[in-house]
Amino acid sequence: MIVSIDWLKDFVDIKETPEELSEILSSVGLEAEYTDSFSEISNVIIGKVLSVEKHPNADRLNVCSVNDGEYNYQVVCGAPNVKAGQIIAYAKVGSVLPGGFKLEKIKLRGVESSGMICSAKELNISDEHDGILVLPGTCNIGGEFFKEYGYKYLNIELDVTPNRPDAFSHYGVARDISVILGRKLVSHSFTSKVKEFKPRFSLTIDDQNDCTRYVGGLLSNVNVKPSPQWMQERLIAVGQRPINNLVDISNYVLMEMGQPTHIFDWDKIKSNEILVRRAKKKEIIKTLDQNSFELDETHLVISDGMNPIAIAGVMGGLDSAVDEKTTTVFVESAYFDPITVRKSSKSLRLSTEASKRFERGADPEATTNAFWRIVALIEEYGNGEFQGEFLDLISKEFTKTVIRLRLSEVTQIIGLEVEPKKIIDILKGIGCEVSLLDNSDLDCIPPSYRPDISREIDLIEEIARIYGYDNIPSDNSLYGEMIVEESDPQLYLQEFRESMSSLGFFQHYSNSLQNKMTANIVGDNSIAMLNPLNKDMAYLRTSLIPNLIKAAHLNIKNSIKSIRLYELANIHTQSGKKLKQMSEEIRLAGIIFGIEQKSSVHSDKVLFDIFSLKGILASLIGEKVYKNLDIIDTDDTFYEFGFTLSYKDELIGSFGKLSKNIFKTLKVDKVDMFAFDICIEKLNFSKSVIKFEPINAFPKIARRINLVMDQSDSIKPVLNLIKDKAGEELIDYYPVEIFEDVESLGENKKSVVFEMVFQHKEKTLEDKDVNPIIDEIIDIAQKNFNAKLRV
Amino acid sequence: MSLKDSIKSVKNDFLTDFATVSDSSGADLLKQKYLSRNGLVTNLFKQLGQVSKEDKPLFGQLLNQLKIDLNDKLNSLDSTSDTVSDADKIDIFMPGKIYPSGSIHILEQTMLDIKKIFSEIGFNVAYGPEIDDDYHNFSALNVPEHHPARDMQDTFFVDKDIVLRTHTSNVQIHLMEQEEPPLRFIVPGRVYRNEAISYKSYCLFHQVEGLFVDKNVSFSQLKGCLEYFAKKMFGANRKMRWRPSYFPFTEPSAEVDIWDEQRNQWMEILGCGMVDPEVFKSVGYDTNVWRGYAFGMGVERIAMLKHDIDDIRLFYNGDVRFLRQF
Repeated sequence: MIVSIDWLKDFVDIKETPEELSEILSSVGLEAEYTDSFSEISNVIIGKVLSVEKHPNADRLNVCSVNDGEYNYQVVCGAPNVKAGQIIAYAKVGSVLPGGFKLEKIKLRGVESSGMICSAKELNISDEHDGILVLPGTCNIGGEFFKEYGYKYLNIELDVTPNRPDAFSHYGVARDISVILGRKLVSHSFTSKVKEFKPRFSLTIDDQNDCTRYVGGLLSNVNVKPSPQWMQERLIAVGQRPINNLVDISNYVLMEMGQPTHIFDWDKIKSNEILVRRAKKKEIIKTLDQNSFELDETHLVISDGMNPIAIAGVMGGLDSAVDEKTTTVFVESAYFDPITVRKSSKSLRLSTEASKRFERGADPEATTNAFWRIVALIEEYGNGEFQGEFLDLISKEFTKTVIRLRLSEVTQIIGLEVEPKKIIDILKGIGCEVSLLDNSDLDCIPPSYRPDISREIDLIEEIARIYGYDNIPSDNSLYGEMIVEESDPQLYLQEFRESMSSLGFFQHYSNSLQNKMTANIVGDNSIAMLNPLNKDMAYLRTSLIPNLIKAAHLNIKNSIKSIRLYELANIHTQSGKKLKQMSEEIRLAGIIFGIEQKSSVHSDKVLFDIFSLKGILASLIGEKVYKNLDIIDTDDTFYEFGFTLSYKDELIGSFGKLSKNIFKTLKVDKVDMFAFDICIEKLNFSKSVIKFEPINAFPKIARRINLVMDQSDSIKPVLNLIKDKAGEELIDYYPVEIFEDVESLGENKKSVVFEMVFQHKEKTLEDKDVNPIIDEIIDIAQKNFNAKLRV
Repeated sequence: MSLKDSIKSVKNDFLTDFATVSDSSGADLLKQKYLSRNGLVTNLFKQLGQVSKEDKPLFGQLLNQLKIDLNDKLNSLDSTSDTVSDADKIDIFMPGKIYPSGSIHILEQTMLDIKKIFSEIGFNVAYGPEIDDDYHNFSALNVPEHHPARDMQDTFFVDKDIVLRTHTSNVQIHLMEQEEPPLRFIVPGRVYRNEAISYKSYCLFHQVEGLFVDKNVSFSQLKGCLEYFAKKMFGANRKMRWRPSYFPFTEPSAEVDIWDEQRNQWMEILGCGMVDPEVFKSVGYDTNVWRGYAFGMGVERIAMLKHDIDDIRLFYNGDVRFLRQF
């Protein structure tokens, strides 16, 4: 909400600068932002238009004579509304306007022009630039523009939290200022001396829960015209557009007192019955903003006995709106139930200044005060006559609640003993009725405009708020019981992140929301949003790899030739629509692309391949576990060729070269890219404490066998055989050499040298310990795998 | 033992020995053992005389090969050590060999910093679900349906009663449902808001939630705790400001700003307050015994402030030119 500082001064004395006032308002919970829109304007003064003559060479221009209190200047002006005798804002030659625009003496179509007559837009007052800004006659000619007039537009933007409907008005904000600064708050209440008169209309409220109070009354002989200049200025200052005196008066009272009201054209209402009721199904209303809404029982309406004439607390109907021909008006000032208004406004997606205030909780006791204020203003500025025709229907009395406040609890919660006198001053300041009990506790009745105060803790908050959070000392002692809990359950992930960093990988953080195709890339089990931002972000991801590919693509476009990227984050899948059937799992996925080792003085260029990835995984997963992993081919279409990783018969992930389908789905160019995806929780061994094993000091002994095998045969059976037969003393085994040579080996043959390393825990191994094993392995290999020992 | 077996055995012994040797002095010892006048290989040559005429060429060849292999291996050790010691040949202005290093994402680093600071003062770390029911994300936190406070956070709905959590505060409820007081936790995690993407807002971000429940907890202690955090995070001399604010699940509620010298303005870093009694009621804690404070901070916001990052989208697009800066 925007508040005008000039307006606030109606109710409380303010000597502070706008910056200081902003700080004060922020310090009491009304987060304030002041934007200085005038300091960049200089040398603009109040002038008077002495004469206006047609420009000799341009139809739309006028040549004016402007007096600045001392001299007369010739100014060419293009505004259609310029007239002799007007008091205006005159920007002299040398003055600076918003945007750093500096005025110079110029010729316009052959006529010299010294300076400019300004529009409201050129002075940062509003967006109005169809004509010049005409000032009231009270401005002193020759005076500085800001001091004479511009100050009226100093404003502060407040972010009012939902618990403070009372601060949604100038009077409410002034009240907080008065409490915090200890200044007097000007009383602002209205009544009428006119005798009540039996009105020509009836008033009915269907359900007292929807509307606890409704004040309505008639004024006749109203003259619809522009509202007075001061009122327009204030509305403009708070960002409202003036329309006519009736609409402006209603808006003015809303901004001033926070009570929404509505003014109907009485002659357009087809009966004498005003009824507050729920809408009927399929009932239609056309609202002031020219929209049509189909209503149902959710919506509370004001009806003329037949049709709805307003959506209660939200917006009036077009058919009963005031216009320039209006002569008799019906003024409504009511209290509508917050939840009812909120449901109505939400379901219609129609949020207005009125609905915002009702749904937060208007002041149930403010209806009459606002009504009489409206009546007085219409009488004064719209020639309206009020003859006593009004009704104040209370369907449910406002009940005051008494709240017991324990001073001990104040001290406990705030952590500081606040003087009882200070507490009472604060509570009275915000409008509470306070009575002191024998045990020095207090009984408080909060004011009707503070629906947020209903419990002891609400009062304590008020005390802390007004006392000032910055005035509450900080307790730096570490208080409380030290609780032994399991340490960070995700601590183990940090080891993986550090490993990834040292393997050259950058960590990626990406959007969890994707389009349907991408989210269902690995299975049709993604979770959809009911209300997505857009189609591209309508589903939760089921795999981390698509975003890695997209990020890689972005980097490829930026000419990056070598990419190692990973993400460690949650994925979500569902097996049904219930919360219990939705699962969250943390995954570690990565991709490699392009150059593994660029060419240098030391070596030639090396490209990433599947064995780069395999090596990375071995290093990442760690020797102990990696050695015991099972790697099996998978026909997952995700990969052009891919493999699953299992540990102790449990699937822990997969890796491979990404298939071209994936690139197609993601609409990016296909490149050779390798990826892995691991269920990292299954590699969390942080709970098992590593126990030290004595270092084995006995010598290792290595043996090699050279087998000639069919080219197409995998080495896997041989490796398995070695593992099976070699026994406990085998500590390492791997192929060390592979070569193909038709001359020495024959067609479609390869020679593979396997090395085995043995070490015993308790003795030095000798030939006789190892040789029989080697012989057996060779023997079985030759028999079972079509392999031959090469000598 | 036949000569053939002997050759094999000597070769294996050599390989085993060789594996333990790393410099030229070690190589010299092995030369002595295998290739000297009484060395093991030399001795095998001596056995050649005992084999049959037909076999002689084959074994001769095998033995020669063995000698060559051994020599090659030992010489390779010699030469590597020689190069290293040969200072004249090194031009150290040649580039080093490449060992690429990656980085941990700046959001992760920031989150780790936050965790570390709170761990130092006795907070444990817990996590909770990103998809949750309306109850844990809203109602139990004193945000009833049809309350204007719901407008404070634009929510993604998965189903009528299932949401993507809008804050990590849902974990407050889970924790209190599972554990008896006292408790002291921080909860890092990803949260979602149905907001259009721009340089300053994204449809998701990360929060760290804090919750402390004990017997005599006060606002003054909350101030002490969070001032400790802010000083650790942003420097001991950073100016701070406490403003009253509103969150349905805390009362009194506050927002904390730090002064940003560069932007010449206050910047909000976190929201906090005393746990609202309604929240304790929804988890069955006795409000006459237990009191607490809670806080929540945006990791992105803190990282942006600390590192002068001016566009939130940079965090999520995986541009290596961004990632490698941290």
